[in-house]
Amino acid sequence: MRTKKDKFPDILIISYYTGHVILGIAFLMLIPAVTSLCLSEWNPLLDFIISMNIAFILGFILMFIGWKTRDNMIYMQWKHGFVIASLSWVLLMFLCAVPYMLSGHLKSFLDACFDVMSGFTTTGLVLTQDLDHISIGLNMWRHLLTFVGGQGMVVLALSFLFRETGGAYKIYVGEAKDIELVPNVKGTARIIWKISIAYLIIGTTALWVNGMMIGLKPLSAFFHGLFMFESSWSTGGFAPMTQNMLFYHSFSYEVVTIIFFILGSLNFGLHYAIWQGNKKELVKNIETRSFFITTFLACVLAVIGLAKLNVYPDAVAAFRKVVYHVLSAHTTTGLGTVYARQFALEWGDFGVVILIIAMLIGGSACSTAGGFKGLRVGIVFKGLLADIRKLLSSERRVLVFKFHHIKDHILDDVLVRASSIIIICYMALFAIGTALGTYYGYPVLSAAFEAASVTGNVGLSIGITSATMPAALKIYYIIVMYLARLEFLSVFALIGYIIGGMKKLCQRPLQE
Amino acid sequence: MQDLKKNISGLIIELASVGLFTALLFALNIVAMR
Repeated sequence: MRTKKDKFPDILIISYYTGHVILGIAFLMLIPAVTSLCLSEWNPLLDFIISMNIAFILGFILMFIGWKTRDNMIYMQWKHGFVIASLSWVLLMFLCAVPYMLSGHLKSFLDACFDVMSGFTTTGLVLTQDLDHISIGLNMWRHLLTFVGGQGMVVLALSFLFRETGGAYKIYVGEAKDIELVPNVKGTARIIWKISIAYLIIGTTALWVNGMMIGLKPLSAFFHGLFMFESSWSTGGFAPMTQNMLFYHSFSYEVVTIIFFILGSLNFGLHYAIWQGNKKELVKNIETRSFFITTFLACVLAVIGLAKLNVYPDAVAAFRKVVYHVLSAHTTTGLGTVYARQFALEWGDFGVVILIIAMLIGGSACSTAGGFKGLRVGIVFKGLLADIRKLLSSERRVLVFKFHHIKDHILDDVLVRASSIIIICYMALFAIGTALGTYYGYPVLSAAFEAASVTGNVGLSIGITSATMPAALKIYYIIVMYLARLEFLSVFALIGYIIGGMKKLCQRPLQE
Repeated sequence: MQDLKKNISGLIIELASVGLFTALLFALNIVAMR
């Protein structure tokens, strides 16, 4: 007998909710379209109208296919949530690349997909040509993608398009965000946006005023401020100019971006706890402790290492070049105040190695940052300490270890193992990326630097990433950015789902 | 209203803490350069 559940096969559920997420992005394209309209940029406006139509059509088709399942989110299982999140990201990459491609600033569609994935995952590596002359509409799109990508595409769709249903939580977790700020997931998504929008207003205003102080015209200063805030807060690394942060030549501008990219790399749960009056959380949280200790050490080591090489003449220059880059790498932002080749030519091996380590560690879990996250570093380190203490104590004694992250948690082996597995996965991606880079003839340290940058979703480059790099390397970097941002699990679920489907298809003729 | 006050004070604390941390790194950088 067919049960009610059988009437809603997996594919319909996945199709319906993926359609929702795509519609979310179609609506998002209204922002750059309106910007282009207001600034009389007619060609970009047309590009966005075409792209929006494609996204709307695809979104509605997918929703129409799965229409029967619209009231049955209760049937949604974990596998559906994971597949929807990972599949949406792939489809969105292609759709969001359309306005890039139509602008004529990309050499190929692969380059456009690379830039979009780089934006979505808040990496910040760029293949766009002649960045200094692209339209404000396209710049708005680039930075909007990185801003929304930081919060999460699914979080965006959840906030505005999904109805209040339990199954939504499974899609939300599929996007590598597992924190519940309030009991319902829609409320959690809205809090994430509330925090981001509050900082968007403050950060854009601060950078706008700063921009006018350094000689930019008011309108230009506003757009630069908005773009640089979006880039900093989402730990993205995009900038409206080719020279990135170097374009501004301003110490105060750099300090403001530092403050916002550090804030962006902190856990949304931590922001919420502090905003609810739990001020001690900032000091007690294992993640902030881990982050501040490793940042502190990395900065000290890098400054001492570069002081030995006499690259920068004074403390201010060292702060603006060395500390800025260590912070940018550690928060996985990728904003830079030196040219890419300077890392290879001036920083020396030690400085580059420090940046690689900082990029791999990254920021906080459930934030806009990448890397294997301070929380996992803290858990594994505490796990190691716990093992040592267990070895040294009496066998009869039962020891319970705890750590604090929003609330007290018991440190069990399952948690340590889960954190270790994710760290191993990141390290594997990094090792393969380094090997692939050396295969294409790049020096090992440069290949490792670039691999760490994509694995940690950072965006700093040593000069490998360019439109002329091998296509296989571009594809590998796209896959790595995607895997690292979604933290593996949902992508593995998608791969498993596709393989399972293919197996069923292959077995059907035999059964018949 | 009470919630808003809490939120604003939390926001100021966050900004001040990160600002202080940045200042600390700057001071440390001066010491390290000597």
